[in-house]
Amino acid sequence: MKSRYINILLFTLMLQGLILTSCKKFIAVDDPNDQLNSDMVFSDSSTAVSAITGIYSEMLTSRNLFSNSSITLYGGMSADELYSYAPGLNEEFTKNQITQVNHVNIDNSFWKPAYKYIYAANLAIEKLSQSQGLSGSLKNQLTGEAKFIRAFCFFHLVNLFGDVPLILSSKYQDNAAAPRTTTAAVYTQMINDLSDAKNLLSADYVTAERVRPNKWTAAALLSRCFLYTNQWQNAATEANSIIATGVYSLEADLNNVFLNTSTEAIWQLKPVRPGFNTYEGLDILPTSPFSYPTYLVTANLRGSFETGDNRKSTWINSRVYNNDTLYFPFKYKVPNGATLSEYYMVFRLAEQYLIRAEAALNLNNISDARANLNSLRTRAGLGNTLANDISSLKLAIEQERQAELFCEWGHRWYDLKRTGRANNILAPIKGATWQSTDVLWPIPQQEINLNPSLTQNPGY
Amino acid sequence: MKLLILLTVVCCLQVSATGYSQTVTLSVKNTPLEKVFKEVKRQTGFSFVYTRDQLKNSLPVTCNIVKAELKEVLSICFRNQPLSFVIEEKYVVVQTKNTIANSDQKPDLLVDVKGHVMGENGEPLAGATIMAKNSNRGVSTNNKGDFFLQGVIAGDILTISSIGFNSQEIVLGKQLYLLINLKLAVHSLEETVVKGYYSTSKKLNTGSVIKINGSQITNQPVSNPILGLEGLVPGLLVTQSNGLPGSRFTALIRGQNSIQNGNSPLFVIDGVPFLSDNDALTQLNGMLANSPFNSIDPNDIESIEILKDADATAIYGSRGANGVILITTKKNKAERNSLSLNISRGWGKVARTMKLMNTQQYLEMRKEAFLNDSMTPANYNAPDLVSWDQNRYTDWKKEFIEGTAQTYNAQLRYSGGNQFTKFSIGTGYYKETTVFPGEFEDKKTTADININHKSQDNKLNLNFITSYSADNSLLPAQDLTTFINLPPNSYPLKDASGNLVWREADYSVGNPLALLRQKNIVLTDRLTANGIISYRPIKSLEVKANFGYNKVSADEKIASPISAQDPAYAPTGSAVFGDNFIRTWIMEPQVSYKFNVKEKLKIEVLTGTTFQQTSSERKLIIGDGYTNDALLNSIAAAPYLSATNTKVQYHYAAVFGRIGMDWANKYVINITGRRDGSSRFGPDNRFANFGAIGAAWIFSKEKFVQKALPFLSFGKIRGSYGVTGNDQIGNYQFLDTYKGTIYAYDGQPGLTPSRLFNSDYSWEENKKIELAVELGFFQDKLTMNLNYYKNKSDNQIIRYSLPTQTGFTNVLLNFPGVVQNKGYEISINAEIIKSKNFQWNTTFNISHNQNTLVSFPGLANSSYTSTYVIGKPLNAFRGLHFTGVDMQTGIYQFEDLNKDGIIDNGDYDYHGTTDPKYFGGLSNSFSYKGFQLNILLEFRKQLGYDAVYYSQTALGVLINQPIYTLNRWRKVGDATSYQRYTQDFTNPAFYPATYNIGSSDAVLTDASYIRLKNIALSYDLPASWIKKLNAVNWKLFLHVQNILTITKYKGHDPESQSLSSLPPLRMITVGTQVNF
Repeated sequence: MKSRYINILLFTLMLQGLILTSCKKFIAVDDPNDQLNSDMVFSDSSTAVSAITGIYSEMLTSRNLFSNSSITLYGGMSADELYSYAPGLNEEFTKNQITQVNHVNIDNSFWKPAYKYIYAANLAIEKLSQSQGLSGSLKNQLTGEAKFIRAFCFFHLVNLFGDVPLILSSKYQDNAAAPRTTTAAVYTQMINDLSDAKNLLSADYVTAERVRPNKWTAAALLSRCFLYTNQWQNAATEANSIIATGVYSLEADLNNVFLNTSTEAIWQLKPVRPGFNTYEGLDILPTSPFSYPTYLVTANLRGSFETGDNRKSTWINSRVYNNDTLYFPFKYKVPNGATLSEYYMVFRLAEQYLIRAEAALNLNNISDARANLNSLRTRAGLGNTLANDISSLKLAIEQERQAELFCEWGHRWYDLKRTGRANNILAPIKGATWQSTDVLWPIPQQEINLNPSLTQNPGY
Repeated sequence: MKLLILLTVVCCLQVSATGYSQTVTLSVKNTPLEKVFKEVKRQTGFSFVYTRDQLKNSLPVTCNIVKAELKEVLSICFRNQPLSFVIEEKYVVVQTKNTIANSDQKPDLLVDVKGHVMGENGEPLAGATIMAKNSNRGVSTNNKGDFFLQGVIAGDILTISSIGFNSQEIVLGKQLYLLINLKLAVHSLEETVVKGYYSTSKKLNTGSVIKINGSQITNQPVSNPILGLEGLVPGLLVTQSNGLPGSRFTALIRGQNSIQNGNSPLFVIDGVPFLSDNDALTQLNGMLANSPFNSIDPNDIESIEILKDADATAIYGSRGANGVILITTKKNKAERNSLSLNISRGWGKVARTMKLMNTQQYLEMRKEAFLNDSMTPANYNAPDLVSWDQNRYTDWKKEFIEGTAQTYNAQLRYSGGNQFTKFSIGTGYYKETTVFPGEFEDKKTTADININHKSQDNKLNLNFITSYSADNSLLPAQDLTTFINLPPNSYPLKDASGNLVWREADYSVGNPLALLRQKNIVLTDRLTANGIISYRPIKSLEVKANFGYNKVSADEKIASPISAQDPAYAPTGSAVFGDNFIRTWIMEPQVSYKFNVKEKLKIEVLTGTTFQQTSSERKLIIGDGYTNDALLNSIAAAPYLSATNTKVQYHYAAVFGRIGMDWANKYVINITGRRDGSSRFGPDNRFANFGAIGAAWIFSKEKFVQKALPFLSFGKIRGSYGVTGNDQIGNYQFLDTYKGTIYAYDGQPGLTPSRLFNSDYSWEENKKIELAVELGFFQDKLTMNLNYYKNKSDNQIIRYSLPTQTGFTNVLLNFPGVVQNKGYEISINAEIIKSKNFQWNTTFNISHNQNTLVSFPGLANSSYTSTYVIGKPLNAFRGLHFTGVDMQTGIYQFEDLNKDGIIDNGDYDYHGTTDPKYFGGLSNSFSYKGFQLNILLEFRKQLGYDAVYYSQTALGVLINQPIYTLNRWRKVGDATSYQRYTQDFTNPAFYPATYNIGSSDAVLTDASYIRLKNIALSYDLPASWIKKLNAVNWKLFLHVQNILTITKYKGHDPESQSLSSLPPLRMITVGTQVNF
């Protein structure tokens, strides 16, 4: 009898022992269903594409990102284009007196998202270079897009903050303490990346619409980079190549420029959130019959248009509220709505005419400069420009850029800075609050706290 | 002395002799039955219980059996006899067949009952009384423990009682010979203490364990059992987050150990790990999310044990660092068939709120603000001053949160069984409405079955419990308390025909009543099934296995209909559907063995393994763009859909063991250990070892102590040291992965990197030391526990902040930061009066915990430099120093600590902590005849957040304020608490009010309180009344919760502290409980 119990006991212990030896196996878990191993992502064509489209999706998912309206709004306020109707609201930007409170907003809307996309692009570039099992053409396309995205983010970073850390890998151990790199070096990297991207990307769009960058998108940013670094010949060449393709044409009707069908679109970001068009429209346009528009066009901007400029009447709208007539940007015309008709216009042909005009002028080709300006003026319902010498054409180009590209991706703010005209133009408008150091925003204090090797911009 | 006898008895029990054979060899021919009995007794040691009368008609026995089991042999001997037998412990009870004719006898049929009363050890009890309840008859046992009671009504209830023993009730059945074992009345020090896998007595316990009985919780009208622990348990801080039904709480045992990860104790229900207090069951609506514990009916709880020190928690290894809370549900112990019914009904109102300004005061504030700002009010910034009715007044607090919440509660339980198999079936219903306007409620239905079976030889024991609960919560999507500060002259929210009004004079402050149409529905199902199979082949060896399964699912939906939104924005409807499943199974085979070395050293050995798997699955579907509210329930009808789903697995395996040594009940040593493996860590870091040693010296057993301190009835010094762990980090953090983006881009799904990749991290380690003295005076009428502990947590897993240029804001890694918690706990229990009719018992406990961040390498250059201070609590408040309102300018002033002329975070300094300095409770219970009165006071000494300063709003904007803010600066020379009114962004007074003040020490205010937390009054109806109803007992009760709070705190409630969430309610419950 007793031996039976002992047998039972022994059996139990043996069983326990048996199970114990398989402990290691027991605590192994399946991969989570909503996550994919990084190496697997880049071994399959469909998931590899998703790793890139994921970046565009992130650029557009939440509101208040530089990539979906913040650059327009805050760039516009820092320059001389926009202000808030509510007194005091956003005054830190309109008066160029950014304090610690807004470091958080600047960080969250500009610095953080830009570096997140740069990380995703870096990781994609690294993984794509090691990837097996993807076709060469797909690898080229995706690497080209990643390099383009990296350059696109750095472009906005250097123009907002000046020198910024140039991060080209995914290793946090190396990147966490990286100091600021000179703007010139960042531009060199951007130009390299964009030249690569131009070679890697195909001339055709990979999908039916113009929502994924192609060769000409890389060229469009490249020509802008050349313009910003005063490489006139290169800028002209790139702009030329785009205009010469014949793929793009100026929309005759100004109302159609920002539609998803726009023929002058070089690259558009397609809104991702169902039921919404662009956040630019949502942020700027009054959303109910009772509400007032949050961001208003300055008198200065309205006054800058020549008489008869159709862009003023088509791209600016007004509403009477509390007995005030309030003017607001009207490039995007849909605040929200079920039918998707407007995409974010990131690169469009008109800018290339302006780049070509400016490059031509700096290469002393006055007639070319005039011709390029006149293509846009004609479309706007204006006669040919009267400017015919270098100095008057310089101003005419500045004026034309303001009228064509106002409240669009920070163009005005960047233009005033790169041409060195910010002090001359903004000091009289902004008064005593303007200081020459205001051309650069502060590096977000939170980031400096975490990386003490980051230095702050002067004036903050 | 009684204690000593008692101990001796217990000892004897342990060393019962086993010198007899287990088998019988019998060869007889025509032998009288009685002779056979004698022979069997000689061989087996089993005594026979019978009367000579019974054997009168017995037949002689003939048989030839070699080495058969006792039962087998007896079956042969009893074949064809007019008798039957039952084996009970070491007795064979002989029964006469068909003594009672049949069961449908007349009620007044009288019978005679015989029996034998024994103590736990089988010793006969002389002088025990046997009372027949309905027959009005009674008798005492003779010296041999036998009794004979004549003329008892068949089916009557017998009560058997004896001094020093628990009395027992037996319903008279067919059997008229009763063998009764009385259990020793448990002296409080002998009370069993469950320490997870094993149990011990309070007296011999080497660890820190607090046991709370179910009745202490059901005395309080709480629907969440954990909330009932507040103030009762030294070292446990339970904080209720708001006063909504099913609301969440935090439970913290001996302070915060982990800088960033879970600080929740491990909760175990009947051996199955449950969700932790902060495990979000639902995906939507964090603030109103239900506590998973809301699905547990407090009435089903037998006891809750709180395990605190290393000795008690190390056997839980990696999950023991934050303490362990064991919940044991009720099991049927009685053999009597009984039906019990409990019904109660309650009412609740917000107990404490702030007084807000009326229209006149509010408008005065607003006008003054505009005057101060030199601005003219206009409709766009001051509709309340230029367009709205200046005399209209609505008390929004009254509109939104001053209703009466109602509770309805009923439980029905039937239990019964016999000495081998017992069962209990119960069901309950609970419903609680809210204080908000509108039809909101939380309904809970529970049901459980438990069955316990033991074999006749007492070797096999089976125990199965299944409990199910369904909770249906329908609450508004947002706490309406957020809106009590609407301008008091704001427009009425409904027009004459009942439609929602959204604006007046083109100005909208929204319409909170719309929220009443945004319903947040959560259906929570919980199923817990648990089985324990134990087998004792010999008395000292037990082989046991625990199986448990636990499923919690929450089905949630928030619909935002068009009718709940401002029509001016041409809204569309949206609906969010969430599905959550959390399943856990656990299996824990164990073997334990007890033996004695020599006479005095008792050793208990336990070893076991744990296998646990938890998987949780969540789905979330968002439907947008509905153009018709009627379609909101349909996912298919949504014009736009987006969906996410996640599935997470957690696997866990462990080996654990324990050796307990007890030398003469004087010196006790307890060693526990565990080796854990968890899937939460990278493949190279999955296993770790934990263990503890505990020791106790019961010095009151030493002769010299007894001589020197005769008033000391009990004295113990105990201590423990050990290492436990914490693995409360998310799953899969070690993987290098991509995850899906919320939206696809151009029809192509998006992927985005999940995190920075680091697979090299492992457990947080928590080293615990405890020293305690337990004393009993005057026959333990006064007992006292003094505990001192020091816990150190190292190897902290933190999300180390990185600059975003790395791509992410943090990376998960082990960090050599050290957090220390040390403190003391004192609890005192006094039986002040204990007479036959009147008893008064007092218990008091107080705890103090000092939390310190001992080290944090590189703090100055880390992102935590503004959060943590070395040498101060983790919960440190760093900020500006508020120097008051400038009498000249009327603006809040702050100290410019670094003297750079700017007030900013360079001027931050440490100003204190909101950790309680000390907390505890005082409970008095009185009983007089049938009356029972319990009064519970809870107290906390702490700093809290000031309601006005912390809200960071400028006084003067379009928001109503507490009336005491009228004490503001008006003219040069005014000394006030609040600065000048302002409403203008650009006014220099605006920034200090909206930013600086909230990050200054002005927000730290005294939030200490003494709360009369609970009064429970009950009355047992006299036996003579209830007899007519055939009831065993009948109780009426009145419970009042949260009666009175004494505090200097100016906000709603010093516990929840929030301005925008509903403060805890005052509840009054009346009810009755009856047992048949």
